Parts: sequence; structure tokens; C-alpha cells
Amino acid sequence: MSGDVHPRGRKRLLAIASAGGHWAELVRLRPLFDEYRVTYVTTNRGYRADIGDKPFRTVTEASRWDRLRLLRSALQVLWLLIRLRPGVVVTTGAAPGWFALFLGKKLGAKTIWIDSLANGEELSMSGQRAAKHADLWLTQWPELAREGGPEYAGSVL
Amino acid sequence: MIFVTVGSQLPFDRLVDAVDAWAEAQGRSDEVMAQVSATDAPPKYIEWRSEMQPSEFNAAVENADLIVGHAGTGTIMAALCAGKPVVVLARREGLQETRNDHQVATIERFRHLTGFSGTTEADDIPDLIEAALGKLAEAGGSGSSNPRAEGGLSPYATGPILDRLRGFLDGALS
Repeated sequence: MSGDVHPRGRKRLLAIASAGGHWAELVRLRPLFDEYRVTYVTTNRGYRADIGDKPFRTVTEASRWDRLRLLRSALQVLWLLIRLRPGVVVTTGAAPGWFALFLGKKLGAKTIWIDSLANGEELSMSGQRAAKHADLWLTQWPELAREGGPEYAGSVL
Repeated sequence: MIFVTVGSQLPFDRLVDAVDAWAEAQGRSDEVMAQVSATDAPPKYIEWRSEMQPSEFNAAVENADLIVGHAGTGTIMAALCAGKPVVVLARREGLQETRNDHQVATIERFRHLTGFSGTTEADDIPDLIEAALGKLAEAGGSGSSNPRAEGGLSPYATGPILDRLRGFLDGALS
């Protein structure tokens, strides 16, 4: 694959985010992620143009209100994880990213949860749940950083 | 052209109605195009459609002079990265427009950026649109053939978050 000629690192990076703001925030980190053997995952095929010639997959979007779609989304994420065996899973949310973090951790990957810019006054529900499964947990708001909680290291802006 | 967008998840009639009424009152209905999501009450005067694919959305942002949207990070970043001014209205939990008041905080987060203006009140929208158009007219009148918001937003992240993530990734992927 053309993007994998001289990647940093040996293992694969899985970068996953739901369509909309979550994806827009993830794409802002693309120059960094592109240095590695990255596969991008989102919930709308139309975003392929955002990531050039890098490997790109889609899974079903799901919210916590629709259990059938949640199950389908989780199974698709699990299948991707089994096939790609990423060394790191990084996500900006929402539900499919949370599945990738939770299941990826079980399969031995290191995990990064970057809480969305949109969660300014309180952490998102999925962000709080993600904490237990994230090896690196970043907030993009300095006032939300705390011991035993998320770390602040700047934002994607 | 003014491009109105409410994002892909939920309708936001409070915003669309405010712009629709403003456009009709000003006789500018034919200069506005709105993406309104799955609403039961689409606008009466301006052109609209429910959803757009990412490529259509990007084209609409690129063709617009001004973006008017909900206060979603995707909408705001798309506008500012394209160098277009953006006026946003925050969705409110109390009006059942979203699940919590995160968009109110988002407005504070972006407030310092040039070309951005935001409010929680639909009544403010006409004034904010007029102000943004006024600035564009000034910039256009000063000789620029392609007036854009000064400053704007670079397309990719910069700063310490890159070093923090690179350090982690180098360790975990080696």
C-alpha cells in the first residue's frame, strides 16, 4: 500500500470516529496519524475523500437508543479489530469509537480516548465510560483535567 | 450565497425559521440554501433539502459567503477552515433540541476566533447575519476579490497535542 512505505512503528493504528464533529476532529490529526500504518474508520462512506489513499472502512452508526444498531455496530467493529489487530485504537467518539476502545483493549491494544471539543462543561457519558478502558485519556479543555481523570495536552484546534 | 446547516442528526427548526423569516423580510430568499434534516415543518421561503453527503456539504460551504448553523464543532470547523464567517445558534436541552447544553459551551470555546459569532437566542440571528454580511461587504469594498474571514482556522491540529500523541504512539506501536 502506497501509504505504508516508511511508516513509523510496526503495528497498525486504528483511528475511528462517528460522522459529523467527531470525524472532523479526528481528521485534524491526520498528518500525525498518517506517519503510522493507519486505518481510518467512520460511519459514512462519503468521507473517504478526507483521508486520501489511506485504508478506509465504514461501520454502522449507532446511538444508545437503538439496540439493534448498537449490536450491529459492535459486531462490525469487533470484526475489524480481529482482522486488523491494531496496536493502538484512537477515537474521538462516539458509540462505534467506544466499542473499538472497549473491545480493542480486551484484544490487547493500547487505547486513546480524546474527548470531543463539544464536551466543554462536563465530560460526555461515553467519555466517562471510556476512562476505564483508555490508556491515554485526553480532554481538550484545561479546566476538565484532573488527577485520576483526563489529561489536558492542548486541543485539535 | 448563505448556507444554513443543522448537522446530520436532528432538525433545528428554531434556527431555520429565524433565517427563513429574515430572508423573506429582506427580500433575499433566493440567496439562501438550507440543509434542515428530517423536519415536519420545512422553511416556507428559502430553498432547502433534508440531508447532504459530505462532498455536497463541502461544496456548499465552499460556494457560500456566509455559513449559518447549529453550534456543532463539525459545522464551525468546516466554515472556519474554508475561511468563511460563521453564525451559530446553540441547541438547547430545555427546548428538546439536543440531549444536553454542550453547544452553549461550544460557543464559548470558539468565541475568540475571527469570523465566528454565536448565540443561544434565535432573536439575535438576524443581527448577527447582518453584521457578518456587513463585514464581508467592507472586506470586498477594500479591494479583495475574494473576501474571506481573516485568521480562520488551519486545516490541521498544531501544538502540544501532537507531541503528546506522537510520544504515546511511538511507544505503543514499535
